[in-house]
Amino acid sequence: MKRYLPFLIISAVLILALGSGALFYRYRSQPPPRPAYGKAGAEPPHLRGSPRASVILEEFGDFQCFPCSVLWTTLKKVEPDYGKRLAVIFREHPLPMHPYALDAARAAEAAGLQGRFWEMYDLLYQNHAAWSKGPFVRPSFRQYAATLGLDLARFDSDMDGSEVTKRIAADQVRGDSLGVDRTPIIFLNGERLAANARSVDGLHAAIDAALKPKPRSPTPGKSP
Amino acid sequence: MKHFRNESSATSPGSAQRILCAIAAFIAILGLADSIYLTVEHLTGETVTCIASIGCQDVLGSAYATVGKVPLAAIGALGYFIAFSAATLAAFGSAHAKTFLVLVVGVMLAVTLWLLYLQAFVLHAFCDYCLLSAAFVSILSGIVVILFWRRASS
Repeated sequence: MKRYLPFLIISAVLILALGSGALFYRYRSQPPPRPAYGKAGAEPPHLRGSPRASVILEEFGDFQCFPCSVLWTTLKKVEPDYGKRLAVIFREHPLPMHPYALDAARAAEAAGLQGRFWEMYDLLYQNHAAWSKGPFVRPSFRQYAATLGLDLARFDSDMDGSEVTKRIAADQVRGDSLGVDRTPIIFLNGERLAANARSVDGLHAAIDAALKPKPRSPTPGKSP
Repeated sequence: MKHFRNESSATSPGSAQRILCAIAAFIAILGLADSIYLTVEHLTGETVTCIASIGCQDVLGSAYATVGKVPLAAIGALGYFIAFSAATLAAFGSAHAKTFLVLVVGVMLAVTLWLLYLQAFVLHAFCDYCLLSAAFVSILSGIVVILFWRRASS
């Protein structure tokens, strides 16, 4: 028995490692089954596309988070394929572990108050590598605001203003009510998407599924 | 198997060596858990939560985090499993396994030093879990050096 013992131990550890890895992967891949009702976020939300689009993709994002910048690239590839059938909502969810995320959210919201949210959103993700290491991020954001032709004095005061604070807080309340504990998190027509559905192919599959007409449940006593 | 049994009976390790190999096996299991965690987080695209540093995403999302399409963490997990297996066999008296453990840990140390260089001088960011793995490999290297030294002096 003793001569087999090391091989038994090695086999047991291999099975445990593979099993725990598979279980952890499964746990991480499946979104928690929470209803996507949630509390209201900032109104009006930042919405790109038609509010009457068949599919509404709501993203909870953090501008300093690397996977969020990857998702930005993915969305750039996916969105044109659906035209008016897809609309995107962005909700602020700056994570406390990212020291410059809140300032970036403030910059985006301040640009939003001058009607240029999505342009700032693009610039923040486009230049993610340049500013996200800090420590002096505000001059970068101010430079982006200047690039967009914003009123810089207003941008500066809005960055620290109460309107921006309220919008970010409202989005975070909505995120918390939906169980958003990390970023990016996507809801597609109210259904939380698994993290591994954030690839180009994964998003295409999820949006295509959401676009498919759902079979009507038969109504008794009524002719079709 | 037969070879292992004969070898085992021929070279019965001292209790100190046995304990060192058991410690190495335990450290390798810790490293394996760390690597499995990082592999799963990489595959699911989740945000890894850093405890002591803010550079996890810069490191884990960099081009150096994959070899082709394979996450580097998965290769690390394989390395730790091989080190664990060698340390376990060495603890039960296999001299060949001990030599193999020295080789595997040597390769792991070289890769670890390269990754530390990348974090410090190329990416300018550190990842807690990578530093933890570097600590595990350093301990394994220390154990291997002691094992090697004891064998050379005996």
